[in-house]
Amino acid sequence: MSILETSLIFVGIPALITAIIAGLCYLAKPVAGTTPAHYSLDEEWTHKPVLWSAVDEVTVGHHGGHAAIESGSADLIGGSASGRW
Amino acid sequence: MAGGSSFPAVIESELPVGSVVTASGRVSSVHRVGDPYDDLPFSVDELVALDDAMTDATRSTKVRFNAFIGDLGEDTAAGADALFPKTPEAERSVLIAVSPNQRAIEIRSGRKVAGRVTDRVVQLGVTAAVSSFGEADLIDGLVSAIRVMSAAIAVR
Repeated sequence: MSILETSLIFVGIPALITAIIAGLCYLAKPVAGTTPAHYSLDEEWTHKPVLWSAVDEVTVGHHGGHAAIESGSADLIGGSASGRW
Repeated sequence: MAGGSSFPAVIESELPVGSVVTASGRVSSVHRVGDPYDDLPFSVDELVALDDAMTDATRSTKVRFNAFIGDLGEDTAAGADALFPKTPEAERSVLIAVSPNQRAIEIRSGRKVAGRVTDRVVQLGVTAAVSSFGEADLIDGLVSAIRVMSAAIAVR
């Protein structure tokens, strides 16, 4: 076997098979389902409510964890502002 | 979240078909091929930007920043007032609540930080957010509101 034949068999054929399988992957959908379309503010919000918070951050050194806050008490509020667009 | 915890937290017989409670307590569910994923309608880059902004703001000010998107009802101010005590560490926090269907934004600050996060500071946040909201960019507005308010109250 010449060098050319050897490299074609042991490099060319595996490379070809890899390329075919890799190419087939691009034909499939990346996820098995649909992800929601990107939300823009001029559309109606139909998703569930979301609350984000940086809860891993420590604000004050409190060791006892969170104290229970009686929900619905409005006297927790300091400043407030509203706006529309 | 304060209060309202119940036991058991997950009732196995009420889970949808194809779900099970594992030995560790985690719920494992199937996802059927073709079903839509229950993801947030935002790109990863946007969520990372928001996360970074909230983390930086909370770290530099020691005031917890919370952001809410959802329906606040017809009276958005009353809706935000009712929501505020249920947010994490409400007394030392700033809540930015956006109600896209009412085209309204409400910002509330906690009583313990009211000396720093005054009405004027939260008004700054509203102004910053509304300018981006006018261009239909929700996350960008939230990020600018957080940046403006945290820059106004950060201790240097």
